[in-house]
Amino acid sequence: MLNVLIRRILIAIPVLIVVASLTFFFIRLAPGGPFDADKVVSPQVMKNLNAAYNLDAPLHEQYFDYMSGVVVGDFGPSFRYPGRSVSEMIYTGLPITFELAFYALMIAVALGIFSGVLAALKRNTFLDYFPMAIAMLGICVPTFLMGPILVLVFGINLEVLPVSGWDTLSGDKLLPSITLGFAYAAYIARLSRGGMLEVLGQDFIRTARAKGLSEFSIVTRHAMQGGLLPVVSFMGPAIAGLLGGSFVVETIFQIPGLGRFYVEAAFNRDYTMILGTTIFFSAMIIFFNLLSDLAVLLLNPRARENL
Amino acid sequence: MKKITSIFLVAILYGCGSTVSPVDQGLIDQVMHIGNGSEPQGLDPHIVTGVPEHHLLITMCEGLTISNPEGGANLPGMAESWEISEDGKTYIFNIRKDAKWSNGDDFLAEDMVWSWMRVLTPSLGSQYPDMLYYVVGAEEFNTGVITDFSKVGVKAIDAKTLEVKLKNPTPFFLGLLSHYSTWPVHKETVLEFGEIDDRQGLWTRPGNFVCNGPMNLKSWELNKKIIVEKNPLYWDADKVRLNQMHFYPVSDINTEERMFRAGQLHLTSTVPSQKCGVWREEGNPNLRIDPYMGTYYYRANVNVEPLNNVKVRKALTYSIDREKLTEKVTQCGQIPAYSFTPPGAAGYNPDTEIPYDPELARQLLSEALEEEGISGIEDFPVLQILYNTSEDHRKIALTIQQMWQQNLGINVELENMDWKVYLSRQNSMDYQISRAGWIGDYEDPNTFLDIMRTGRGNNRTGWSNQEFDELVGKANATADQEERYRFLGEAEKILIDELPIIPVYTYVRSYQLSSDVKGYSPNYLDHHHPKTLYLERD
Repeated sequence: MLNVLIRRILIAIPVLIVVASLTFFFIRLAPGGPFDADKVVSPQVMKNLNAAYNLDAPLHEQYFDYMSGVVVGDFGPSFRYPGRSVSEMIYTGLPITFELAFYALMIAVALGIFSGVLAALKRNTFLDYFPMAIAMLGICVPTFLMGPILVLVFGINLEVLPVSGWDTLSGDKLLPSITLGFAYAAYIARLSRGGMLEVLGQDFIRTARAKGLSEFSIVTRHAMQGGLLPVVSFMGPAIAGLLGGSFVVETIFQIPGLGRFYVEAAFNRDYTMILGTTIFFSAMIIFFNLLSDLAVLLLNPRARENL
Repeated sequence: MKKITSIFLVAILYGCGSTVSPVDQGLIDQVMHIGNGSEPQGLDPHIVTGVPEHHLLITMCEGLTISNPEGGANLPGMAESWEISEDGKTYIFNIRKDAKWSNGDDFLAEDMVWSWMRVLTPSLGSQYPDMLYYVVGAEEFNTGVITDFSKVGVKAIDAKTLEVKLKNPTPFFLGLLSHYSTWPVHKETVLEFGEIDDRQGLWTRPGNFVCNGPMNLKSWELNKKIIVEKNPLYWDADKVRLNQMHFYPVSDINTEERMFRAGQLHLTSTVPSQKCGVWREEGNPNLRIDPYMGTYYYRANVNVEPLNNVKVRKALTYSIDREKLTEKVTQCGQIPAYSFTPPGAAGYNPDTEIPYDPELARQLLSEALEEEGISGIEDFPVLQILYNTSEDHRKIALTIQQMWQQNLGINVELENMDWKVYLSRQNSMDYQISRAGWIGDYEDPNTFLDIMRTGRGNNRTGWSNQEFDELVGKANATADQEERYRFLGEAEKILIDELPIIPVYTYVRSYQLSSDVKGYSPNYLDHHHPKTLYLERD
């Protein structure tokens, strides 16, 4: 177990270096620079700007300068927002993106596992078809449609919830969390249904039934441990996706999270901001994948045997 | 399932707790809520560029003059009065005796001198130094030709008197002074957090920020909200009725519209274009459409064939039905453009005409074909229209493509590019026809015509005309406004006769405004001084 942990962390370092280096050079290939604007500035002003941000140095020098900063946690100044460092902006947006992802995940897990398990237990009945149809809808309806629909119903027609904001008006965290959580709830429901169906048909469940255990303890104590393994493996990519993919929900609901910076940085050619957020999200993806792999190892004896 | 449903219901009911919307509450507290487009780059008037930044800075800082909220000539700001020499080249500004910075320091003429030195310091990398290039020696200092700022034509004669010497009589100079790039910054505060040329200084943060406008910075939550509150030390504080203004960087137009509907905003930055036509028909009482100092046009790259032939450019221009385009496609009250400078602004009405005449257009095109030695229309090269990603630009490009294909029988392709790619292709002249827009920085035709002079960075068409250059130059050298407009009018005629640019429509500013907001008057530059605004329900 410890071996796995050390090995994975050691692999993560070169992966991050490669990600950072490729991003550094790829963004320079994209046409247009951070200071190109509709209103062209004189060549002299452009020269002054490039000098102010060290963009006039040879590319390899800029690369080594940047990388040596990253090692000590300095992601440089944002080109788009003078007076702001990339680290500060990540630090400001991250807690909000995390909070949103956390609520969404709670909703996704609670709703997904409950309806998935229910569907597996009541296979081929209304209680199977109905939640699974909803799940299919959740997978198919994108968040950019789901968000505005929820806003129209609860925010504008019923006037019970704010239509946007985060921590500004009471109840404003509810709709974004549901919007983001719903899509993942749908995946989790389908995964847990599949996993549970497989386990429920196995011999040890029949043995447990033969021993006279109650249906409730069969499901919760025996079936769910194995049946939910696919959900646990899905958790790593899901958390990473929730963090990196919150851009749409953050935009619809006017949430000051990291996702908006991430996407807007690319449009603005804010080189340091693109790099900072890319490196950061890569580290997050690696970290959460590692966590979910470790969780699977803890839960599944068979996986441990294959180490 | 029941349990979860009940949890949700409880949560939703909890959300119902406060039912007073920000707009209703704002009426009681005199707090105005404003949709401000995008997160401002910053709040340093010498570094930032852009409209959201302007909306914020106009509340917090003030230049020598302020733009007139009703439109027209500028009003006194930090300067209570000024004298202009007979030759129009020397300005003496009398700074208000009671003018103060928000920290209580006296506002001095010396502050203006230092601030202009900062804008013009090359290493600061200001993107708007050219606003001051009309001042003697300013351009030379900014481009490093001279390094001694005392040679620049701005100096403090005494504590409250400022003298400015201009290269030419520049009748719009007072107008330039209401642009934020010419505004003062508080020297001691700026230097406390960095050098004169420090772009990363933290002086613009809440708590540090010191300026001289009607409001002062209270809080700034990145990508969420900026709050400014009344500055009691402002010279005209008695007139300021709002206690606070809250600016929200809502980048999604539809989100902004929903926020307005739900009573979270008094004012939006724009309206979704697809709704504008319907709202006009339905008579949405909150929809406002004001004139705006901007032109939507297409650039023609005159260096490439066949656009180097003026007859081709004329044929293209005369085969666009502008009235139909603004009525059926843009639908938001845009005005068909028959000149480059928007008519009416600063009393300037260009006397130019652009006919919609497909017959004439076809005739011009066939003459051009003959001149270029092209045997028939089928051999005419395929034209490409470059535009940046936007549903609105796409609709206009599609319409113009269809009009050209129908009226002229030529083939036209559309090229949609990401914003920065579009800019870079336009800058490197790697295009045939390219969508463009120009918004005036000050209320004078010079802000439009000047960009088309030979070698100007914003020309970007390759077009050069000596007579045009001379006329605009002459206009800037004369103090007589009538004569100036005559020169500029002649220059405009040359431009519309040569057509390196194809005017499409004059912009309007469309937005939603709550009926609670009073004192919000339309003006060409869209400058709205907070001291004229207040909230009252009829």
